[in-house]
Amino acid sequence: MRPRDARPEGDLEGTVSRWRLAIALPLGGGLALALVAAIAARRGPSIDLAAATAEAIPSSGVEHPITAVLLQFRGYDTLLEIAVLLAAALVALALREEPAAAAPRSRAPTAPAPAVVRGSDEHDLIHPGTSDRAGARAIETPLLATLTRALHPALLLLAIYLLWAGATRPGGAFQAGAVLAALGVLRRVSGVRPWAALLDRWQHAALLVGFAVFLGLAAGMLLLDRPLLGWPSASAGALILAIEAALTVSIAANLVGLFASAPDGRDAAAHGADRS
Amino acid sequence: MTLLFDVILGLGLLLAAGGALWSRSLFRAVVLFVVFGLLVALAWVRLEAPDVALAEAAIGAGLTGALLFDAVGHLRRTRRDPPDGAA
Amino acid sequence: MSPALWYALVGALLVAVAFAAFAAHTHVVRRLLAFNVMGTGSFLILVGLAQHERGPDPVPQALVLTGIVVAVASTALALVVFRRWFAATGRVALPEDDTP
Repeated sequence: MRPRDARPEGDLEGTVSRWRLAIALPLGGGLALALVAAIAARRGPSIDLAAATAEAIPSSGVEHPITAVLLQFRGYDTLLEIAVLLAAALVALALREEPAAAAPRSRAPTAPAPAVVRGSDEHDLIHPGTSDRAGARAIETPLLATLTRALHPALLLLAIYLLWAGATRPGGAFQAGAVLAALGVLRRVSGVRPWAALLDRWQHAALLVGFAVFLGLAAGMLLLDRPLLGWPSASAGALILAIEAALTVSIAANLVGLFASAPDGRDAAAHGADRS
Repeated sequence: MTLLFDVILGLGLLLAAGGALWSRSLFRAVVLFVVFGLLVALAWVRLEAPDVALAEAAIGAGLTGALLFDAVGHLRRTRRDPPDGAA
Repeated sequence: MSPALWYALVGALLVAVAFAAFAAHTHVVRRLLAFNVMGTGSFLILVGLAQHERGPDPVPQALVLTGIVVAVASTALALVVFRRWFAATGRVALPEDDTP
């Protein structure tokens, strides 16, 4: 017997036991008091970071202070951030279901995901797609499919605009990457995936390119007798744009990879059946 | 006027977070978490951080919401549709 | 009170509420929700306190931007691991929390 059958159904939603609540509520109340007291007793910062940033902007190669902080003054944080993202995506890809363990389904990545409708789930809109090794979940509605198709050029354009705008106004690699990732998730959810074969082939390169370009350029500065991440002011703008373009691709690829490598419900059910 | 807006938005943040954390239904909790993400994006605008607001709206509300809905759907599907039909 | 300080206070309360939820729930997805709300609360404190007296400050804003992306990556990774765990055991809580 599977363990979940022995438990009341409501437990999949999570119930809170009385004694846990009795411990948690005083803890939360105490933390609230401590934090509010700490904020009330704060002292002003000794360094005026905003003024220091504004002073250094002209030498940074970009005009927008956030982009300057992210890729110039505190580029180290961003370098480590894309490394963390890459590590998370690699772990998720390593953990995804083996194709053999999943239900027998076509592995051809070129198929535009005609969903397999099993007899038992007539109430369920979500079916495992056939398009993808990680077990794509396609919601089959004409509205979503049309919308996804129509949104492709719009979201691509928006991402490129955000990337370009990052130099002078709000925008940049993070927002552009998030928009591209949203497009990727939409492709997975709707099963409408133009150029799927091409993108799948380049998936690993896309995961790596942000970290590789960033680290390569950062270390390349050492060869020029400059500090790590010390862009020469003359070409800083171009370097930052190149890094941001690579970061955009990688942020999107890593986030979509993380989304897509979550095991499918059908696979989970199959596993449960194997074990019982 | 903006003070009133700030107060309402702050209380709305706390309410949405309370619902996301303590509501009995997991699905409702995730819906309220997405609402919370959108309200936080508004708070970032009020804090004069448009970059963070953009990222929060796209990532905090959109992407995290999609991930969580996917996971909750996975839980529900597994419960509703047992593989061997015996349970 | 400046708006920045008000949002920092809201952030402090969010951290406290989420901390209580984190301690009370054993369901992994609910704990992830609490983790995310706690993170957002700390972002609000970080930016709110920094901007209370001096107005917009790009440095904490950039840190928060990085933090949001790392938070979604860790949430996604945790959900992948959780779903593998759920597929293997059918449980929604971790063994050390799974006491009746």
